Amino acid sequence: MTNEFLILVSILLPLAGAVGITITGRRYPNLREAVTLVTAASLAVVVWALLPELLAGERPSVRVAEMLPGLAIEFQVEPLGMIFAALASLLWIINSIYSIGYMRGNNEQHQTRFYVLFAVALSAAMGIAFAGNLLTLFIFYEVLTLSTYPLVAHKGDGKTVVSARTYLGILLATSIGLFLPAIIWTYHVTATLDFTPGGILDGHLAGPAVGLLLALYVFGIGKAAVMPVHRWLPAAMVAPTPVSALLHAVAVVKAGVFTITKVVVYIFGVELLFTETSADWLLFAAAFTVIAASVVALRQTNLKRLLAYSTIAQLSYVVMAVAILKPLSEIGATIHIVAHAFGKITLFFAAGSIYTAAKKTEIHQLRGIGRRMPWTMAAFTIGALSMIGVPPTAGFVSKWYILAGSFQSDNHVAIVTIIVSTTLNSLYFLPIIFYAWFCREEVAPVTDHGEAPLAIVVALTATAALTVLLFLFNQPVLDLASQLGGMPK
Amino acid sequence: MILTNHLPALQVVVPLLVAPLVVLMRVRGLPWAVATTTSLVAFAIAVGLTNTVLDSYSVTYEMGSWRAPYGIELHVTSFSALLLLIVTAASTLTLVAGKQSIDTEIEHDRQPLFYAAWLLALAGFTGIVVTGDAFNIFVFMEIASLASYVLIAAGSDRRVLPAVFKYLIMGTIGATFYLIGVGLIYMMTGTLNLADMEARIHEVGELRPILVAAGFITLGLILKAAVFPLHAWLPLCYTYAPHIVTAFLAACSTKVALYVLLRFDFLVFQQNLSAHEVQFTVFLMPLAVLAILIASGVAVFERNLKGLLAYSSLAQVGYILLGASLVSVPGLTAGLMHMFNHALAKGTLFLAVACLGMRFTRLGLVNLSGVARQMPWTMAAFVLAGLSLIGVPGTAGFISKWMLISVALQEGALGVALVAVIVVSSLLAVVYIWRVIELAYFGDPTEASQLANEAPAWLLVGTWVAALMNIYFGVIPSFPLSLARESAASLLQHLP
Amino acid sequence: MNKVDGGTAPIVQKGVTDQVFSNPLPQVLILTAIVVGISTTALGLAIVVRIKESYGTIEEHEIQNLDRDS
Repeated sequence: MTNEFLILVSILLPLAGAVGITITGRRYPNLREAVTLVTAASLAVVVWALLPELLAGERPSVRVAEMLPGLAIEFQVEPLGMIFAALASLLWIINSIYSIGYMRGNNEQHQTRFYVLFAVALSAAMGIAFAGNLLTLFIFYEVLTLSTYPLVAHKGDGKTVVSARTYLGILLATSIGLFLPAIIWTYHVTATLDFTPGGILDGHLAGPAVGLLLALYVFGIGKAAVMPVHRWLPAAMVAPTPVSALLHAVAVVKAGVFTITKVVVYIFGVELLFTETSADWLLFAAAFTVIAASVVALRQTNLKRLLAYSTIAQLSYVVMAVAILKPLSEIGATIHIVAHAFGKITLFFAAGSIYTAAKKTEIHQLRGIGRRMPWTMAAFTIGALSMIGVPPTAGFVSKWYILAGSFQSDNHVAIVTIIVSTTLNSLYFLPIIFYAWFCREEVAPVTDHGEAPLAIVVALTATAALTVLLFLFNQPVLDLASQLGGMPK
Repeated sequence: MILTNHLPALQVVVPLLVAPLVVLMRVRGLPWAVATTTSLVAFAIAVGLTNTVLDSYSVTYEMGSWRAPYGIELHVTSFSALLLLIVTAASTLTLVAGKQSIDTEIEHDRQPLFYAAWLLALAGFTGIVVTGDAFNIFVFMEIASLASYVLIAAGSDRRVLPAVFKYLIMGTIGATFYLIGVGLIYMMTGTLNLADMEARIHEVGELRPILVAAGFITLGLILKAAVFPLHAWLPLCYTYAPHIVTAFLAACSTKVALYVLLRFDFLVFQQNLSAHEVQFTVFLMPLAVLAILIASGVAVFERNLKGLLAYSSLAQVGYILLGASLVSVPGLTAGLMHMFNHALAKGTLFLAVACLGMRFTRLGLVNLSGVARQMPWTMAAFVLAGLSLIGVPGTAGFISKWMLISVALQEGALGVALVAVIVVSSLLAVVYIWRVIELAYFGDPTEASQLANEAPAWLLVGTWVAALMNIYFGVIPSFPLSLARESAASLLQHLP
Repeated sequence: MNKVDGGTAPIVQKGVTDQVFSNPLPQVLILTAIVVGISTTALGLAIVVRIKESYGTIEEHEIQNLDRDS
């Protein structure tokens, strides 16, 4: 099994799975779920098989086809991409288990279409993770947008379709309007689009053009939800919860911040951005998003929307950490991609669990629910603590590194932002936990309910456990993250 | 084989000779079969010519062995080959797939005349593309136009008649302008052969009649190509023509007019009239930009599906002209690639419309609400072609869009504005394509759409062949790219 | 352009080598244009007849009114 083969398989395997799901379809639902699970498990095996080589310092790559003159579809595995792919493939398995419980528990329509599109979206995520140049990344970035649109619009009613339109509109407008011109401009200036340690723009671009190009990228990569291109995230909350879990933990938003990190590190190069004052705005934009999103989250009454704004804030943590341009903060950014993934997917699983078992969506309805759904709320608590950044959760580790990087560069803006946002996070998460555990139920629920279906409980317990495990066993991730190329020593 | 020497002539002669024979065929289904076979033969000839051209750059052929420039000379270049492939492939695919669609819209006893007109149009289009004589272009242009009027007028809705009448008047004006221009050039140079013309213009003392001629020719061809603001004939004609006719004409008729415009302009005028490049750019680029923006904007508000796609075509013509107006090899290559890619995308879209037309008599957007449930394959092909029109990576449309943006960026400050134009219109394309997709997939099904079932097999297969070609040439564009680049290089080879 | 002073009809005669011929080409162009014009006019008139049959009128504004109502 050569590395090249593994890379190609990781992208084609989910597509093959999609075909399998289509064939088994409505007639054999159990077989269909089995196909999903087998595909997800096999994908994880294939992706994680690349890990040892990578840790040893190898960077396997494969070139597929020349699409435009001088530009080919090319894949290359490097530490950040490896982390993203490993994360996505692992969480797909858990998300699939959860989906089975959720879709069946809520008797959802169009389940086959759901699983097929999920598989396609995962294939796109793999393509993004392993992209060797900006062209390849862009192709799969767009495929991800298009394949997740029907997932967001799944319910099919009027309100959902309108929200899905916002989703698609913002993501396509930013990618076609800003991201694509940025890519072509980069190619125009440097004659290459390959991700290279140390960046490719040094020597070709200087002055305000650097800041402008950076802006085109950051706002063009709408999936990272930096304000003001963030509105698609709350709009996407109309999707079924497994889709929100996919969007907020596994594929879409992580693809966004992953892409920004890759662009900063491998296209601009940390050195160039460090010296160019026109790029300083990024820190402020990210910091603003963190604070503003946290403030808006405070005012939300719908649980999923609160989680959406929390995600926007957490994503900009990553962008802010990247913008600090110090090795410690870059490592913090990378770990936060993973930590937030585990924490947020747990929170969304819990939200979906509550919806499935009790049909509740608003925060004020959650009084006393801890008694009825102890597993769910325990997982929720762990996830919330991770968002706030309290040990023994993964969020603590990443926050530690980001803070360390901020101190190292005397970055007061970042330090203040982290302190303020941590406070705000506590302000909106802790009350929920308090109400759920320590209050009595106000009104008796419509139906007497207990925990959610088993598949759901298994999934959220698994991700909650991962959140704690990452705190305890974070060395492998640290090792990979520190290998991120082009770091100033 | 001796026959292969005559390929350039056969390209035109075969459909031309079969056309009157088809009129005599009264057996049901025979006219279609003969027309389709002839179209297939024409496609084979086009492929043969393309092969020859790829080896040896151009093929010349003297009609009746009269030596040029006294006789009519056929001159097949890589640019001709590109268009021959587009025209014959479009004709063949739409004919093969469209039998049932045509049967629904045109009574059987009128079909022999219909197919005869189709073959005449095919002969006309291919004739324009292979000939190297300016007046010959006029003749074939009018043959094609007259045949197109007949094809369009075969539509079942009576509103096609005022529409085609308007097209006839405007088209004749365009052709007359072209003729006046050719006449003026003949007066000054004494020749009608394009290559000879180019050589002789150097010796002309008084250049003003040549400039006037250039103006007349450009205007006439702009009208034929439906460039804003002389585009008014196109939307209604496309809307009310038989669906298969729209698919065929949308893929090739305006492009052939652009072919003549570019060939005349670059081959004959560019290097001979000082600062003509600048004038060309200054005149055509604003028109292209206006076409792109205004047509895309109007398409957003159109309520008829075919009308929407027709306005989209006007915008796409703008893209082609935008690339060409940059008067550089990369710019022209981008424009020519878009000719090819747009033919693919629009052809597929209108074939999908033909599928819908099999089940719906009225194609207003409201009639198509929720249709994707009953006709999933049709709408899936529509989505694919729509993505190609928008320019999503992985489709043919992305390739030409990338090239256009790249080329625009090389123009400095003006280039940034052009990039903005291309980006804005792409976003408008997202809006108007997504309107249709959203309505088809998420709209409440009307009574009519609930009763519909999937389109007939042949038509669906044809539509999907076209849709898949969009993907194929979106990932492996090397063949049309090399043709386009060669064409651009040969058109601009004399430029200082 | 067409008639050359001292020129005759452009027909080659055996044995005669020093004839000046008039240029037949412009007449050919005009004739072709006339033929094209005739065909176009015929087609145009046929369309007008069809319009009359379908609409009952050949006045543009009446046709537009009828179309608007339909």
